[in-house]
Amino acid sequence: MAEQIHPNIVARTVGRESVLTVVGAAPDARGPWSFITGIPNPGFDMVGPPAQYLSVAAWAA
Amino acid sequence: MVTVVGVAYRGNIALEDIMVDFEVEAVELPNAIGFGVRELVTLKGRISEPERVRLERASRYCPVGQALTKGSMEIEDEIRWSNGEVASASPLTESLPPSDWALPAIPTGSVHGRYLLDTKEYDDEGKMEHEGEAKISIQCQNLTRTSRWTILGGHSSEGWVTPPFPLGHAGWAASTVSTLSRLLPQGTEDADGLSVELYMAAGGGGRGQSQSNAAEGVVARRGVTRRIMVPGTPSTTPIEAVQAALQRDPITLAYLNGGVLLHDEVVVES
Repeated sequence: MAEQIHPNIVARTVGRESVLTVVGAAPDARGPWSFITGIPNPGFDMVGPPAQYLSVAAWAA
Repeated sequence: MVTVVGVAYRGNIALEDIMVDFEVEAVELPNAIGFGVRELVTLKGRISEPERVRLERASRYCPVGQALTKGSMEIEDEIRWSNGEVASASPLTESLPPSDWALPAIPTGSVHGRYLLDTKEYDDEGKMEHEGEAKISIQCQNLTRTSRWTILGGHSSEGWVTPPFPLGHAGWAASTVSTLSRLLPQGTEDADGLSVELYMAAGGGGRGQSQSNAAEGVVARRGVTRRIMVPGTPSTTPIEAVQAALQRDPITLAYLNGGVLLHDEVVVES
């Protein structure tokens, strides 16, 4: 990793119940492709699927 | 799907169409990853039994499938606290450290993939250059209703859609952040300081090698560095707490040990 300045993928929380993930975050990379996933919780409907579903979707593709 | 399409093309198998269905369910066993899937792959075309077996193997050994079911990922973890301190968190210990918090159960749902036939791309000589795209429909129980989302994945020259392997890693990065936000000592109070970066070295032979591995049932080890940014200092957010959370993250556990697949079946419809 030492020689790689930019990450390929970045994920961070958005509020308390969601995560924003960007694929192709580096300036010279293809993309960016952005995804919102939800964190199951007792208070709100999730605005995106749980993260595991994103992995299964990738498996399907 | 696009891996199977590529394997079929290289093997001159008359695959006309493909669909994939996953049922996703919670699995509540001690030290388990918390969820599992049942997979049904439907192939269409005049496909012989040996060809079906070859495509079935390709389905089981596609890069994302390998990562989730064969434990093929080699993960290097680095933790960075917001005060600037850095430490390696690898390797994670075999035993599961205690945690005061538990992850919420995954809601039941399904993932349906449909191949978009007319997105295949050929060069001037008629040779396939890109396998094309898949439309993925996700449905799961939400708090007050059933919710649905659609995403695209695959390989295209213009890069309109996310390739499957990076898309799978996006799920892993998101899963890591979700898990840390729930299990670190500060809970959700300071979750805005959490982020994850993935660094993947180029190589591995590209798509052609991945398809050859899938066709032959070869597990390819792939390295990735995961940098985890956490709020606070090693005193307020101890490395042991971060490691304990990582060891409960569903996709991390799948990447290390497999175990997602509960059942799979590949059928042919003429």
